[in-house]
Amino acid sequence: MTPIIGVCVKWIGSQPTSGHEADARFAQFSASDQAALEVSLQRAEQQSARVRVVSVAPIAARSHLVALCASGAHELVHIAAEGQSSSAHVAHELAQHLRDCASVWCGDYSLDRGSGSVPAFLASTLGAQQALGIVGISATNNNSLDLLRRLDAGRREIVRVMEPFIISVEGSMATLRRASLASTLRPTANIIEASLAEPSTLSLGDFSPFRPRPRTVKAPAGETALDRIKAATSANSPQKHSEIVTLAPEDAAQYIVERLTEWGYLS
Amino acid sequence: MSLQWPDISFQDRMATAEFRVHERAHIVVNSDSCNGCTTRACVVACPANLFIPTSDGGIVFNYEQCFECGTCYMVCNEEGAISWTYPEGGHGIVFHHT
Amino acid sequence: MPDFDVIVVGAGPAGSCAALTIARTGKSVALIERGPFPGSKNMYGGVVYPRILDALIPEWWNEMPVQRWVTRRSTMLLTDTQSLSIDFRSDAWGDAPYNGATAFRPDFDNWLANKAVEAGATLVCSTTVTGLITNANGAVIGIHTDRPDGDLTASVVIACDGVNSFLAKEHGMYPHTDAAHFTLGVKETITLSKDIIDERFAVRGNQGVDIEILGGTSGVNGGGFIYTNLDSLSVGVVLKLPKLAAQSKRPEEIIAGLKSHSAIAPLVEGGTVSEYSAHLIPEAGLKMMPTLLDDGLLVAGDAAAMCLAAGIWLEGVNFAMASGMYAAQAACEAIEKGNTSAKGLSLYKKLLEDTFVLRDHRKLRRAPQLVLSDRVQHMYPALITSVVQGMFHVNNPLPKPGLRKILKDERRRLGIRTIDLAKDAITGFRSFG
Ligand SMILES: Cc1cc2nc3c(=O)[nH]c(=O)nc-3n(C[C@H](O)[C@H](O)[C@H](O)COP(=O)(O)OP(=O)(O)OC[C@H]3O[C@@H](n4cnc5c(N)ncnc54)[C@H](O)[C@@H]3O)c2cc1C
Ligand code: SF4
Ligand code: SF4
Repeated sequence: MTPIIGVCVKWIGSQPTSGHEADARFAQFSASDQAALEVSLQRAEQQSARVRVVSVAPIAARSHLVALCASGAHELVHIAAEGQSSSAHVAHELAQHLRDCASVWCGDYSLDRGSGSVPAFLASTLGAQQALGIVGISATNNNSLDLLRRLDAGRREIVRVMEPFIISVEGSMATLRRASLASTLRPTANIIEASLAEPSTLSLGDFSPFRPRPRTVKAPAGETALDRIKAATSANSPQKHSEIVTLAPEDAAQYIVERLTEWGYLS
Repeated sequence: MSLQWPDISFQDRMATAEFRVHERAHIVVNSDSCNGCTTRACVVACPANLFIPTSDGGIVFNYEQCFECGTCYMVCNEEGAISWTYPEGGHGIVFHHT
Repeated sequence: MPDFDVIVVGAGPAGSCAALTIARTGKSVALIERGPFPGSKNMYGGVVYPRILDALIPEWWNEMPVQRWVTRRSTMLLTDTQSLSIDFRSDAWGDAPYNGATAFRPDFDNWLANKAVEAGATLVCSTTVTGLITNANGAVIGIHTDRPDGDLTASVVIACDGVNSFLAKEHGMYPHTDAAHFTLGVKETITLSKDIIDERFAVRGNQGVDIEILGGTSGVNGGGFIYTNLDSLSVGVVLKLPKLAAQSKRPEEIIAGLKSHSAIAPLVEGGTVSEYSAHLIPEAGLKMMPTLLDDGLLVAGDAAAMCLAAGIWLEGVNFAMASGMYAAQAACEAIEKGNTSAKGLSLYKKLLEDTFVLRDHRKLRRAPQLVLSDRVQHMYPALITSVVQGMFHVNNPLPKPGLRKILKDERRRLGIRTIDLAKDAITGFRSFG
């Protein structure tokens, strides 16, 4: 069976920074969504795979989605939906069309400054590994990829993900190839129309924020209130802001657990 | 002219227009040709103020906020100073309420 | 077999009317536009005169995206400290079948292009046409675009690619291009509430105003305009290129100067600039018009300089729509007869000659030069406003002077020769009379 690479794109009615109302004419896909499609197309060429673009978007987005797919996507799943839906709901709907994909690629940044939680919900729904903020691929192995991930302050890390995985790439990773005139004139992507199901089909369970109960801590010893406050805030004791220790990984883990216990974070 | 009009800054003015910038510069100015130019017609005429004279007689040109109007190549008399093309399809200026 | 019967380059008013006309005959037509959607690259002053659409879209007024129907037209003469307006109002223009409407081009052009698509045209956006394909005999047989595998062939190509028309230039249709034939239009869209606009411009509901201004352009030959949209104004100037280039005020400063004139400031005060834009106008009319057709090629609209910009008129969209439609009719006839050579396409010329497109241009062929001349630009406004001031200025106990005396004195004071005045008057009568 031909492997399928999934790409999720978010259609934004108009550039929000322009201060004008949402309008299909001014719609765009973010540079990172376009990069996700380009990376997928490149991988599809290497793996003789098919690329499937999936989007929850209003009917007005159809021509834009078709134009996007003219760059070489094989299938387009357009899940028609007007108005806003929750990230969990969108992810659940996208997932229905991505179950047969070993890899799914998303853009890391949407033009409307969305929360970026759709890929996380997707990973959860599909039971896939997830990586964010990817700026490059450093190695391709059998069923896994080593990815270059951007961290704060100009740092990078390499993460290894195993299939199935969901990866959010940054716009700098690739520039989407231009669609040929022929595929623009006669779109070749196979269009699958779907519509948004009611949110009741959600299988993600209930979520609520983690709110630990307050703990009563015995007041420190001290003659006056000021003394006790000083003791509680360690205001007078020499501060140890940081400490450099060099240990083997196992010992380091043990050391961290001990310190956290000492400080009262673990019991 | 009786009233003084409090005008917006040029930067704010240009920020009202949407430009979808492509990585290829669609207009290129050959600053060497500008060295002998006495008119500096582009500097005053370009509605986007994209031609900036340098102290050594050259021109610094940035293509990003261009209206694609064609004024610059029309007013420039120096053969070969400006090579002018349209940006790649779908890029460049996008008007909203014009 | 070519890919399409006809390729139309540019989805402005000319291109869309051409594509619509062709699609209606059942022929295949591709409409190629470089912007992300039709109208996204286009700006103008602000009034469309869509009468010609009666022939293409019955009752177009029920669906066209309109800001306001123009029911009031003013022509204004400005000197630094004076203004004189001729103001006309017609209630009939506020009802079907209407006369003119303010509209935004990203709305209007997009609507018109979609009419062509509904009729069966294939619209391809975000695609820049980079050149013409010709056969061994030099006949045009298609286009190159900037997309991969971007060539496309057709029996006829209609170039509706606007004022810079690189296609017409590349094919040698323009013997020479002279900067003096072009004006730069810059405008500000100024947001202002509908109520304030209604009050300041004395209109109600969806009635609108069109003000053409002579003078007020800081000494650069050209003119100005103010149009009312629903809840914004279009305020701008058109500036003759060589004159603009030869002085030191930048375009936005010239608009600022216009806006600060005592006759204009109260109209625009308190509004915020919501969009700044610029575009060229082919200004010289018949004088600059290129060759209009060649084997396999027709040129229409601004690409063929069919724009009427002569002081009290600023029309181009209507000429573009009409010439696009006529080009399409000629292309269809040629294809049906199996002869798409220049000779086979010659119906285009005839249709233009028989209608307002070339008749107006022939009648007004001297007008642009006259209106943009130094005398009309710099001396006559001063002469006329001074004469009017002389008539209305009360200088008791002196008796009122006669009109003839005021005219003579002011003419002398401004150094205008009688012979020039007479010559210009004759040209004016021939053009506008
Ligand atoms: C400041 C100003 C004020 C004006 N005021 C008025 C007014 O009030 N009323 C009026 O009737 N007229 C007015 N005009 C004139 C009017 O705008 C033009 O005459 C009219 O737009 C011409 O239409 P067109 O279809 O020929 O060209 P355009 O409207 O210029 O359309 C050309 C189209 O071709 C596309 N194109 C160009 N090159 C290529 C290419 N290589 N490949 C693909 N696509 C291409 C462009 O993107 C564009 O969409 C004004 C013009 C200006 C500049
Ligand atoms: S671009 Fe042309 S007009 Fe401008 S400085 Fe150079 S030579 Fe002169
Ligand atoms: S095309 Fe117009 S806006 Fe662009 S650089 Fe030239 S003059 Fe300036």
